[in-house]
Amino acid sequence: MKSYLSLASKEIKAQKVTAVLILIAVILSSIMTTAVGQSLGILQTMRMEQAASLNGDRHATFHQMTEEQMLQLNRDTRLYDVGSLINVGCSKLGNSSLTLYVREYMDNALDAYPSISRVKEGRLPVSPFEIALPESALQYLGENISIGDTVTLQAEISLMNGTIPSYAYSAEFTVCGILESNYIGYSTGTLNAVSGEGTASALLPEEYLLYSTDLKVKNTSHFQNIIDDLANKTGIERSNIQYNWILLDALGISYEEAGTSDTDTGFSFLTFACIMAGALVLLAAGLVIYNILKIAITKRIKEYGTLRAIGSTQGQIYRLVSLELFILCGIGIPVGLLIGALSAKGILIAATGVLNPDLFMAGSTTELNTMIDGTSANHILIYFVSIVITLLFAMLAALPAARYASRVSPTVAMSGQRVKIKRHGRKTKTIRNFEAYYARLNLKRGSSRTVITLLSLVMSITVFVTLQSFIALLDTSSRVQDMTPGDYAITSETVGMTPESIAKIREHEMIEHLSTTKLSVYTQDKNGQYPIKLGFALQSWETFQVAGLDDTRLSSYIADLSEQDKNDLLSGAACIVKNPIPFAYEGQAVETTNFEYNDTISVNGHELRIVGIADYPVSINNAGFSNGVQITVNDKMYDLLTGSNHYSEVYPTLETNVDNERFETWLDRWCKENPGSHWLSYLQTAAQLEESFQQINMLCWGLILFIGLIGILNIINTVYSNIHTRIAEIGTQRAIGMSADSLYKTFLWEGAYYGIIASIAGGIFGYICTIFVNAATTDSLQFIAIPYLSIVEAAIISITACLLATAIPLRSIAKMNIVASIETAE
Amino acid sequence: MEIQVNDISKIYGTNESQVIALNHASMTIFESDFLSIMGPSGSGKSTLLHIISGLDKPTSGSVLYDSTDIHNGSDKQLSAFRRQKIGFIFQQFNLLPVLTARENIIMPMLLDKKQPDEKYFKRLTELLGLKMRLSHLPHEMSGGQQQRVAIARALIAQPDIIFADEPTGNLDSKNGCEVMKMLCDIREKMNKTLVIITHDPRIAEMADRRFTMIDGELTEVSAQ
Repeated sequence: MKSYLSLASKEIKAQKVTAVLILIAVILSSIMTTAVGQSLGILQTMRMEQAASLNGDRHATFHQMTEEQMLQLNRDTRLYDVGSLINVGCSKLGNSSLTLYVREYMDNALDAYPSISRVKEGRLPVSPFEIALPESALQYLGENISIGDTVTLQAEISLMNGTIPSYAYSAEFTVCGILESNYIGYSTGTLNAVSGEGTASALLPEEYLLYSTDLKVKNTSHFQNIIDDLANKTGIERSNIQYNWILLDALGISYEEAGTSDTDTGFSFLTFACIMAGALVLLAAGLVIYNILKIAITKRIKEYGTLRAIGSTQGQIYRLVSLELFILCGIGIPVGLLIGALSAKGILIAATGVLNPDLFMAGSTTELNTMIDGTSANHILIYFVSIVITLLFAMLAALPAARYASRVSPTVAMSGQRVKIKRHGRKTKTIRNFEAYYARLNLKRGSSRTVITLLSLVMSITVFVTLQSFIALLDTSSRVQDMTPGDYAITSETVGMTPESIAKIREHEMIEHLSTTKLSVYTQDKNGQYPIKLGFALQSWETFQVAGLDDTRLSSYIADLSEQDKNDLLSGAACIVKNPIPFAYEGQAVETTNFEYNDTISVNGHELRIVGIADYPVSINNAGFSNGVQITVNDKMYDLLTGSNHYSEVYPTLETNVDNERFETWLDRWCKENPGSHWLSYLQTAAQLEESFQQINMLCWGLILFIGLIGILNIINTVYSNIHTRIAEIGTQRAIGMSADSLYKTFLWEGAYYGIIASIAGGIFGYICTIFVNAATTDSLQFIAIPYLSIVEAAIISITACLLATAIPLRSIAKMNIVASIETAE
Repeated sequence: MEIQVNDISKIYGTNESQVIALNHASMTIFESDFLSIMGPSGSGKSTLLHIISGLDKPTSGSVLYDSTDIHNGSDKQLSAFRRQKIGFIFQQFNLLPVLTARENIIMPMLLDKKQPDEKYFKRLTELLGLKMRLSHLPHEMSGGQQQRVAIARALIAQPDIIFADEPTGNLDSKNGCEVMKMLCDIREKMNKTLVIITHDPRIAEMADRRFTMIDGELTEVSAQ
């Protein structure tokens, strides 16, 4: 023995149970930090990949550019992955509400859209008039279309600002490739085809030969400044800059429209989730280490007193206690890192195993795994950070115990004085259940230990309840899914659908819910008059539109409105307005009508107060917005204003587990009975998006499991210590006639109290956290439905764990010899 | 070496629950003295010993070691004082259960970042009859052997003074006699100052100076 510090390793060997418990805590916390670090890296990578896949691997797109402007962007050194495309035209696909967009991608521009460019058969086009079509479009373009066949497309092209009329043409294309279907596009009613370079210049007049350039910015911290500068230099209107919000949000890049797009919460949620999960895990593990070490030191306090008596300094005791933990960390952390890395790998494999690789632009699950594994955050850095964090927290957790050991008075320690038990309430009441009563007293005797254990359990339950509400927030795809108000869209653009025919849909046995939209678009006649009586003037080119929504759908639009505004809107006394989209013509801003909040307008003799300005218009059939003023009112008011009660589009949502095919057959018949109507299914899109949600769900459950394990470890330690530090007391109780059953009950009551108190507190905190999580999503703090199921699940698990942790060590104590128990030195 | 105990008092608690453990006790301990302090349980003997040895602080009064107030220094200074100047023998032995006899003995040296003088160590353990027990853990030894290890530990740093708090209190009479005999023998051979607390009048009579303690009041009985 060369140094007094050798005592640390000897103490570890002597205190095997304590050492093992601390070791488990260290291993669990390092597993957690590693797994969380890696999983969050994976999660973030998957989220980015998914985001890139959903909306293109690009930060932004500049539209409607001349060749010179396009080349200017290509030359800018602040950008990378710059690729340009030309819109060749779009073509309606048969009777469906789908539109086929034909685009010509220059150089490697198509690389940004792997989800729409995966060739199933043939190849991508290389020459003018060659075309690669998505498989799902073939059915609308002719029978048995195969490679080498010729298809004729009736297409048209228009400019975004609508300054010149659209240009219609018919062109023949040679099919050179069939692309894999991508149902994600169904949510916006679009399918994408790729034509060979040179097609656009051969087909389109020069004024329609405009470029769209996708780009990424190198220095993302100055993203908006760079975009603004590019806009100024190239002279591109702001309205022609499209931000890829899904990817920008996933990457945490701030951009101009972030504040109004209602999607800026994505990355901050992820960051918040990371920080919260990491902090909670470390705190939970820290509490375990603190609790175990404090108990271990209390048990050995006499030894520390002896050391102080023979001349050790406080610093030396600090070092001794810290070294004990350091040794355990030395053993536990590498094991934790290994298991953590394997867990993260397991989570990755499990998560991607249930996913469609298409969502992530990968060809197979193996490819997906390799891609995510390779692009996840730097592994060595994660390991290093895990080591540092675990060590830091372990040492911080050890600090109070070390301080307690070093500050002990040698005389108190050596005289064998126990910790004084304080008891405030000493009024004698009738004790109806001695075991429960004694258990309550026991909880109070080591109040700090009780509090720490309860805190640890409360944290586990809080995490359990809260993380379940987090799961939904981490899902990028759900926001795309939100774009579809039902499983199907049934549309009639021209004739409209009568209330009687819609009633038939509503009454169908498979329908769970039906959302509806009514839309009328009015344009000025030669005399500048609208076919509807308006009490205000509009610009000559502006349309006037009235949209009527069912109350449920309308309510979802007005979450932020005051009660008065909501009531007025729902009663038909008010409306929401979408103002015209501003644009410039030949460098001059064109004057547009602009209504503001609280303005009153008169439509068809009805006065309507404006209670909100909408960012997005109501549209049907995924069609664009004919620039103008759109007012949105409730369903009944629409009928009064327009004099029509016909529906433009309805969105049925089916009951779960129903036969979709049977419903679709019925829907086909219904459409035949209602000429001009057609339907589109979003179910495949929904199913595809649902898969990506599962992976996020799984990762969150991994977190819940680990935090739960730490909580259970703490209760095991506390109960074990409670029992083993009271052996002499137990012996005395047995000696004066306490039965083994009664002894069991006392400790089981103690365990049950831990579980019950923690469940109640954890449920409350979990609910509060859920409210905050919800507030972060909706931007308004409000009471939400109590997550009863999660709370009850957590309560059952925690009470069971507490009872089990109590019952197991108690069995051996009840079997102990009474005399041996009494004589045990505590 | 000279220790001056000046009018020390030790009071526990306040108001009604106040207990005066030491009441204005004074004494002077000179080099090579052998002092015994006798008194009934709870009379304040151990409290006095703890205060003189720097394990505890007085409520009032001072303890001067070669004119230095031992309770005026920092924790580091007080710890060094305990390591280097004094040796303490407890009634309960207070050996560290995970260390062998040898490791327990050398611990004060290790705390001082020193290695023991092997010759001295050998002599000490031979004197105390521990040569064959050095690799044993405390629970593998008898009470007498454990107390001899504790004596060796108290002497390893070659302190000026040994404080013994009822060193035979936990031993049977045979072992108790043996331990006392060894202690006295070593004191003589090594010329150490010894302050011993005891209930046993026979042990008390072995001392050069005898004190009694009743209700916190210290009185010197006689000087031989």
